[in-house]
Amino acid sequence: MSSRDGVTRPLPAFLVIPALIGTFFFLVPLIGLVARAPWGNLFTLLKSDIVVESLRLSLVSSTAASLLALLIGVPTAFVLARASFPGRSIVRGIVLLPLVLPPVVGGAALLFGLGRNGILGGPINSLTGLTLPFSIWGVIVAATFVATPFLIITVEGALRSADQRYEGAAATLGASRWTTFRRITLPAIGPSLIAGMVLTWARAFGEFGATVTFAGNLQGRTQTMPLAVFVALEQNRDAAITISLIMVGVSLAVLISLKDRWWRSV
Amino acid sequence: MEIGLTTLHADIKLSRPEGFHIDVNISMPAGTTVALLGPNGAGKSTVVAALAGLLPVDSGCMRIGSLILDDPASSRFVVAEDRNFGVVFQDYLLFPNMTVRDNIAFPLRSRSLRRKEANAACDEWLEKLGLKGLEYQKPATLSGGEAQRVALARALISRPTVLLLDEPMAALDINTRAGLQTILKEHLDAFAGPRLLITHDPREAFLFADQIHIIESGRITQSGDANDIRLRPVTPYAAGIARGWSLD
Repeated sequence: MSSRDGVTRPLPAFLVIPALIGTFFFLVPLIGLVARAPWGNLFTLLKSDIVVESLRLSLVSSTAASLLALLIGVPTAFVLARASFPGRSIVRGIVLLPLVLPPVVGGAALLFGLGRNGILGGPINSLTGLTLPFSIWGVIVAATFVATPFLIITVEGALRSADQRYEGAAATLGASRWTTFRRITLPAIGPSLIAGMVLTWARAFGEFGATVTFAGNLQGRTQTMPLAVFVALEQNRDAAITISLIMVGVSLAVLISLKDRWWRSV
Repeated sequence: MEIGLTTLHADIKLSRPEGFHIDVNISMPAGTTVALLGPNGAGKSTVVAALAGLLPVDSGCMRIGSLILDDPASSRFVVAEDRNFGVVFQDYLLFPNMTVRDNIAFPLRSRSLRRKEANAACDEWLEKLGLKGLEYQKPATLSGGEAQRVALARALISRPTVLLLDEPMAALDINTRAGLQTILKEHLDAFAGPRLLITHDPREAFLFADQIHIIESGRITQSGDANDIRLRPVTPYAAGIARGWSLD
């Protein structure tokens, strides 16, 4: 990117050299992974049960988690950005906590809250017979828990920087609250909303700690790709590397597709 | 009842969070242009927001003819989307994601008019305001004068009962202002209902308005026509205006 007057000076060495070292630091593990990849029988491995089942489960659960995040995250972002009420910072802290909380702690907390004997999970279980842990629902709940804050923080930032006068103008032009939301507010925050959804999906896709703690590690039922890598690293190293390559490819594609959308909006 | 041809009475008392108080009482008869003239920060935009229904008054009353729009004493409040006031906002606030045509058709579309009818009405206004050929452009590509006319068309297309203009000339560069003033005055004069012009520029107030209210620190300090203010200014601010005027 060039500076405002169109003149770009070459960057000084004291910035360029550490930046190169930094990039190298992130690159080495990837090279290691690619170098160790079982390229010869990659195709057979891609069709193995552990890879196919974990891939399907990861895709389904992270997509479901992203949709749940959309349903609960966007309204929460609106309340945080637009309503003023006592304790708003506390509410924001609570909903953003999974950003910094170790996921395994989140998983344990989910067990005590929504597990079979949890304070909400217990009554749900005795009323409906539904148990979240050790089912795909548990995987989705764990992924939603850790990933939704990414959507909330992105959309809240976009709502704060959007010019609210346009919404007032729409109201004077006869637009209902819903029409204003749909035709004015959503387009204004659209790029950030998409960026937030992509990040949320990627975070859910990579979720490990909360999932293994809350939903368990049952192949074909709750074993997502990160869990499968962890297990296969001991028994079937080639499968572990294959799954890792898939995850690296997907995550890299997601981040490259974002360009600088997220960083600009927050 | 033809509410478009009656007087808008606005008795607005409002406290802003910053500790600023607005206490303004004005009547706007149909077919006349009333100007609210005052320096920046006098509370003009707050008055616009209250009139448009974006900000309920703390006390006072607002009515058009006998139709009450805002009256805290009887807990009556008509929301902005039900007032049908045509508002040309400061900076015009054209929706950046929509074309000129979709901007102008917006008030009809939000009142559930079908696209075909909305577009037909839109074409009529494009023609009337000399905007033909610009219908598929985005607001960012328009000149200041074009943007002003799009904002005017968008405000007028739903046949509003009242026309409010908040600093309609402020976003224009000084060289194009003179020509555009004439066009704006033409459209203002063609509007049958009450018309309110909010401005910080005494020239605009004198040019457009039949009656001028000077607002300073949230209060009306003087009301009258151009001559009253020119010959008998009450406050130092009004005196400054009168002095500037006589120098021209």
